[in-house]
Amino acid sequence: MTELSAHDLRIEIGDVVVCRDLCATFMPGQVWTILGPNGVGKSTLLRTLAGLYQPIAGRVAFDGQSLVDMPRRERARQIGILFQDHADVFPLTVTETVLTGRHPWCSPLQGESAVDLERVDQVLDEVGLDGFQDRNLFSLSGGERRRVDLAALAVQDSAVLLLDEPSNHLDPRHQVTLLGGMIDKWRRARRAVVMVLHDINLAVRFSDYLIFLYGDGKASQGLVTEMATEAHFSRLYDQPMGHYQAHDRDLFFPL
Amino acid sequence: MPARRAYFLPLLCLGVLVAAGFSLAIGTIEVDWQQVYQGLVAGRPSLHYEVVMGIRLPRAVNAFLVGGMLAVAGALMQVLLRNPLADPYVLGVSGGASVGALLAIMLGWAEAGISGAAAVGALFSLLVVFSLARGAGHWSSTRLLLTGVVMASGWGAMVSFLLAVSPEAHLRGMLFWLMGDLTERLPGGFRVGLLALGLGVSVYVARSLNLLATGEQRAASLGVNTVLLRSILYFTAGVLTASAVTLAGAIGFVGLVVPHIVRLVIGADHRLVVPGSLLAGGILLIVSELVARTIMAPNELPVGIVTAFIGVPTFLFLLRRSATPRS
Repeated sequence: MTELSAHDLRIEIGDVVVCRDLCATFMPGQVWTILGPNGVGKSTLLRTLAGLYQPIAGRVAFDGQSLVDMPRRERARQIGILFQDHADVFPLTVTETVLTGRHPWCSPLQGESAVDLERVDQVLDEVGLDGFQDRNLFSLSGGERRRVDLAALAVQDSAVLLLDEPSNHLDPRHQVTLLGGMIDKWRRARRAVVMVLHDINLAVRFSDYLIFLYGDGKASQGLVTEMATEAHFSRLYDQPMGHYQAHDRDLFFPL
Repeated sequence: MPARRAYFLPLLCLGVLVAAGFSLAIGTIEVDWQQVYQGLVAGRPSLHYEVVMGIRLPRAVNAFLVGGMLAVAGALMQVLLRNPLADPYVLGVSGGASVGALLAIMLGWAEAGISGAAAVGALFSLLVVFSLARGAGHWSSTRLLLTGVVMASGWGAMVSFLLAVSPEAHLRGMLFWLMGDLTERLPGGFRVGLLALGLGVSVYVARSLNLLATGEQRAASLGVNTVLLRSILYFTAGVLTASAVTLAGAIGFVGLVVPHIVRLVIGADHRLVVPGSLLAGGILLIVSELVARTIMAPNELPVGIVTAFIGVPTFLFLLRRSATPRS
């Protein structure tokens, strides 16, 4: 089984203890969401799972092998991450940007092949950016730019997908049909998805499992059906939360 | 593969040849090509042969090398610092070279000694900034930029100090060195090799440069060893700059503006930006050198002034043209 697993993770950023002794196993076909108040280190946990941040103690492993022992390119073929934001300095085109996602699969001197370009066109179509191939990044809206990021992650074809606030800048239709559609597709393709979201209702709607980070180093995790209750969310966010049902969905909101 | 715009590279090669042709043909002396031809074929020395082969050719070759080095160094530096305003001199390499060269001029050293002192100064500055910026092991772009900029202004103060205290007789030579000037000796194979090596390394890492441009963390997540890559960029750009500065002084503007001109015309894919910058930088400097020695003949202007006179309007024109409204 090609699962991503965290073993006794202790992560700190300065004075903030993100988690102590966190253990979790992200199996293929599962969708997880990390929830917690601002500044508890959700993004840092995600970057640790990607092998980009070193925990104080414990280790992250893919398929039993510690990420620190994995060759970089091999790790990049197995684990892809979507960052919360981006700072474009030079005006690459949409195609050029999405092609960067194919980097782990190309040898240093060999350019991307026609197959790679075909894959890019196919994914751009999926994210509704067909015809944007030659557009300059600087000419895109926030939501379009976000979809370019999603496309670049999708063409990486990694077994594990880590998403930091993937719904940022997306309108409701794109949140549900596009992002939701991509997540469903990844689930069916037996990929493991771990994301950070601020929208509780999207988290409940998309995920199988939730991880709560409370901010004092404590964490809890479980099936979304067990975790998603008014009491749990109220405690997590230190804010009374309400709940109602409509259209066969559980919806949560701050009181 | 960015095949779409790769056809610009052969065009630029052609441009280099055309520029070099003009540079050999034009000057204060109307060249009698018959004599040059006979000098080449029959080895018969003549004034015209000497002017073309002994003066104009070396200067054109030097101009190409220096322009190419500075433009490639600038392109690399802009990615390394993730800052479009970066140029080869921003981290103090040229400042170190200038202080070395001015000291050598003050001491009355010969030309070779001046170049040597400039090289030592440049490499010294390169190493100091690198070790200070790395600090505890992690070096962010901001920290590197700040360290380099502070170092550069320190060198700038040193330059002013040396100019203030040096005797009148040396001042003109010092100022000309600072403004940049091309010698009339053919460059050694060392410099040509250095430029070729710099180009080779840059093209080899060019795809990783595209990734680094989209963010350091993102590049790392896609399998790039960013610490190694940034060290490679820093030293490649630094050594190219040092070599250019010791050959021709601190010629301004080429390293800042040529990579941007290339990006505006060919696009931002660094597999094309790097070789394109080399060729375009070479062209700009060959033409600048030609203008510098002909426009006010028999007086000669420092090349650095002409690069700015040609580069600024070109850049502004391209920038304005590219600022098209959305969609």
